[in-house]
Amino acid sequence: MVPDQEWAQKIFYLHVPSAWVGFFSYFIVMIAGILFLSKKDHKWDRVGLAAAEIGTLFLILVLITGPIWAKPIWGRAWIWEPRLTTTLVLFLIYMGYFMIRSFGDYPERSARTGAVLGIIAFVDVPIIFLSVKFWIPDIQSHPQVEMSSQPSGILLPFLFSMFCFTAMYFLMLRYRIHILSLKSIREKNDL
Amino acid sequence: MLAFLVKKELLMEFRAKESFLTMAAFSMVVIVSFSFSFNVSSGRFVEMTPGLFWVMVLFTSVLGLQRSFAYESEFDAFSMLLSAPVDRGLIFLAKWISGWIVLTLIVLIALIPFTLFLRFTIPTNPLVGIGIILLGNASIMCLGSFVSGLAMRSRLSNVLVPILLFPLLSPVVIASVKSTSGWMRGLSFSTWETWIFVLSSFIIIFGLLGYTLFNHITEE
Repeated sequence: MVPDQEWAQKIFYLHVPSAWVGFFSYFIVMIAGILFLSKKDHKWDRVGLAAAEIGTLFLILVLITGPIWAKPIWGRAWIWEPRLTTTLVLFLIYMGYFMIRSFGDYPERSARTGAVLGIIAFVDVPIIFLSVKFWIPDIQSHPQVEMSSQPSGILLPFLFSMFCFTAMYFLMLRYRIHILSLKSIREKNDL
Repeated sequence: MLAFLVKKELLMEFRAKESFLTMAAFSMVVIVSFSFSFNVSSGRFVEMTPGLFWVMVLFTSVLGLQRSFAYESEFDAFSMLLSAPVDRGLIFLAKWISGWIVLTLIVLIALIPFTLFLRFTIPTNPLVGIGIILLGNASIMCLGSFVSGLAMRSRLSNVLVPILLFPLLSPVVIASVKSTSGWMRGLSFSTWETWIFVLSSFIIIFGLLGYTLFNHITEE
């Protein structure tokens, strides 16, 4: 969020809100996993699965926009920067999450496996981030400019973008949960 | 009860010797492949040896992890184990401890061809290195035992274990390589103690999580 990056800076109105929504979504997966394991209510499994799908969609956006920004600023599309690396590792973990859910034998067991994996994945995030940060400490991190010191020409559109992405996330989550509920009702009727 | 379960796991392992032999042979194959793939006589190769060593350990551990739950599915032995009046968290702990013992034995044996073929020079304080190996192996087998339990009843479980495990273990790989590198280069402990802290925290966090959550993944 620094003004002297000119056009490259504009991507941050897309990149940072996507990262916020992606990580927040995985936090929802963990909470839904804990609630599913404790209450055994399949509503929480649907919330967890919907949040995992939408979170992964936003993390893909982060992984696309990050290198687009990095190329003109750092001169290389990929640098093992802690946040970007953590995002990549988390994305790989969630690839495994979707596979294990698809290849599971019984829906009940797949739901439990998904809930447990969602908890483990989120607990692993801070450890991955710290390890990558200490791994190559010289690697430049994202610009760390205080938000309060940003000129209003940058700060206001940024906050607006964050609000819009968050609102869009909740809307997507609501619709996806609704679709998964309908699918579950149809599967029950088919049996 | 935990000692009894660990004894059962180790007895099964050392009677059949399936995992032990396949893991030992596989580690040897990996070492020979590394020798062919890199210029061992190059001065810069020494910097890569800690990384190669832990890649070998990681690949070898996957073979053992796949076997540790695979033989439980024969004659539905795992369902019978679950029906026993045993805390299921203890089953996880037994798998973890027995896997850790077997992996450490394999790694200590594999160190001989590793030093011989890849010119891996062991520093003057080998006990520190053994400590790092014990911690690294414990971290790998802690999460590994849990993930193989998680994937055991899925189709393609053999493929899913490494796909799930490797990204989750990325902090362990970084910490193990960095601490081995610090030990090999003779750096003072204070420069790489962070990595020992990372490994210890990983073991505590995922050991507790595994013990608590194993009950949920084994529910029928």
